[in-house]
Amino acid sequence: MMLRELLSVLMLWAIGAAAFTLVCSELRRWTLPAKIGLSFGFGLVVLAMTLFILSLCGVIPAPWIGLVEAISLWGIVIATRRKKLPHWRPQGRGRDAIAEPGLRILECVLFLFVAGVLFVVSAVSLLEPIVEWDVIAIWALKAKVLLHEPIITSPYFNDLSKTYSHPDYPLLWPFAMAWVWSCIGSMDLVKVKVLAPALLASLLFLFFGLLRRKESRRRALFFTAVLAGIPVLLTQTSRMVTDVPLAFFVLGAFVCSYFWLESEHADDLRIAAAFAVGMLFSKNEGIGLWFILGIMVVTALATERRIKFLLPAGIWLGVVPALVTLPWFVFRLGIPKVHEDYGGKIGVVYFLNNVSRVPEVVGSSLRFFLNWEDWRIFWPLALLLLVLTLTHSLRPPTLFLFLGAVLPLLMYGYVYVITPWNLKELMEATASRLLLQIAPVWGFLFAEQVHARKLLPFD
Amino acid sequence: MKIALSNVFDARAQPLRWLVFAAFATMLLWSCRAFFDFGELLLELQGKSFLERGSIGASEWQCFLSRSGRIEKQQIFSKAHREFALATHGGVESTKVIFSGNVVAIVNPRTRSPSRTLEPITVVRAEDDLPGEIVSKGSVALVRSEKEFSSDIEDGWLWTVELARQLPPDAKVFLNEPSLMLYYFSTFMWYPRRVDVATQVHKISDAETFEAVFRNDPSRLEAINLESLEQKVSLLGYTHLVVREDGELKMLSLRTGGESNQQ
Repeated sequence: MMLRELLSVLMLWAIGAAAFTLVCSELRRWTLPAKIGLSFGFGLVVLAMTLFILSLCGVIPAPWIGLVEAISLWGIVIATRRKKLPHWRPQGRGRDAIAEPGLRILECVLFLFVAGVLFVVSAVSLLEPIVEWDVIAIWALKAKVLLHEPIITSPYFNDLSKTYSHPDYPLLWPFAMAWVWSCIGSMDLVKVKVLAPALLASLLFLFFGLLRRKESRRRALFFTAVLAGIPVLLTQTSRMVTDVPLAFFVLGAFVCSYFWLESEHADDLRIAAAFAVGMLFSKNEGIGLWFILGIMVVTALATERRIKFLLPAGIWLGVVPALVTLPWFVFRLGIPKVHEDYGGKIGVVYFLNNVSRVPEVVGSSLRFFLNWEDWRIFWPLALLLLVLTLTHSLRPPTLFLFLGAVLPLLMYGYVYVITPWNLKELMEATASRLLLQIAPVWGFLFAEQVHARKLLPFD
Repeated sequence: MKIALSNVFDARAQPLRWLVFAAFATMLLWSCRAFFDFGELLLELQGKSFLERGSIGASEWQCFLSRSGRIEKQQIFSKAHREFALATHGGVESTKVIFSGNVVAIVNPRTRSPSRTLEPITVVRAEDDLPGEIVSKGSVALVRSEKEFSSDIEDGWLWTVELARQLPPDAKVFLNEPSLMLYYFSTFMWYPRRVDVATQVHKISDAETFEAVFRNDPSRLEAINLESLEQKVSLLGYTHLVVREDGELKMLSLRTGGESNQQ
């Protein structure tokens, strides 16, 4: 029976939907797919942070925690935001033009493509047990530890013989896995993978929903299909690799910040803040991406002389994510740092000492950008669009997204230059996954570039 | 607003748009391969037991998911796939394969040149075209497809999963096998039972530090020291010992003196 694992995911979504309803003052600004996608993100952040704090207090993940949290949050929603609940209903057609049958067929084909991809990936995910090397060695091992003992008393985090599993890596995804296992009642290697289709569906809903803020349904479907067509996104989601949740949070944080710069609506900023928390608590790369987000927002506001918006931006994108994840970073300080200490090697001097590696990094990167098996022609498409829309990309507001897509690439390049590992081996294992972390943002940038220059026949 | 289809498909007026559309359409059409790849895997997994599904998923020769994101693995697989298709007429006939160390030599009498090396795949017309060392030391098999190849990860996954079902909850295992993969997999599969590769806590962060642990204590790797190793680890509270004997991996129970399983 799939009932228990389905319930665990539904509970996660219910917690997120309640949190989203509480955070958002105007639910009507979002389409239903966006609400579903955003709710899953909120659910992951709220539940994982709760489980983490409770684990610090000596409580291991258990179904009652999620149940109490869901009931409490929905209680607050009903008590304070009852009038907003009807706004969850799908809205009318709005911007959508009435298309000719040919275009309606195109929409149907695109919808079937996305739904079909979601179906086959989900079916495989729910049959294949956890077998992925990294998931076994790092993420699922952590989930077992978290489920077995509270982190405050667990010897795992200080066990030098287990440092290969990176005890200092963030715990959002392991807590999500531990949550599903706690609901199932056993550490089943297949049932825990219910998270994979839930994440893929939420990512596609979120991507489509974010696009719908500015685009017609047809164009939003078109670009969602492009995203759903990236092979490495599908394979890594199916394998429960943590780069996908990070990509999901990066998409939400970057795009909602981008929306906020245009709309100045507080909801956009608050959602971006929640997703920035998710970034910081998913993977260590999230810290770098959070810095990039901060730099970009501050630069965008400063160049447009919107100084009064610096304060809310600083509070929501800087202080709030830092405060919410502070317990994790304090706990992390106590974990012996025996692996890659990138923080200590971030200086320019260290980079210059390794500058001879730059050609190798660039050359090797090209192999990954052009890897047909993983990306088809996604990155060549990115290059084509950059060439065709360069002047648009370098102008606000698209400039913000452009930098949001490009700066992480430079950051990853920088890390490869300063890494203490064998570059070839490291890139073989990580390059595609790092690119994956920002692929949805690039997908969104595609849509904006195409929109700005009206580059599609059905514009 | 009503969009007219005739305006949309007016190619003369919008050559650039059509170029972009064609690029995106190419991406989407190629992406349809996901239906074949995932669909084929789905059919393979359906109706199989948990162990069989894990075995298929863990093997980089059988499951494309295991090669995803890793260019070298993908390239090696496609070379092997191509050469096997040529040598076996698409899997109709079987062909001779010689395994020696990291070399996989496919014998294809119809190949153009006597010997072609496609790291680590080598294609030869006949066994005589191979260096004598490979022929003498290698093992020979008749194979129709690369899917028949064994995979270390698949073997390790199966072995640790099967043993996880047999190990008592309070077991403490000493792994006397210099395999990083087995250490990773057994630590996860057998958790919360403890798995160690050294009697004292050493930092193990990667293959290098893992090998150093074994290098610094070589005496316990010797098969002749098995009895003393059993005594040594038993005194330290270990209940099970994993050793390789006659090429086979064995789990010995230090409580009963029995053997749990072998690989």
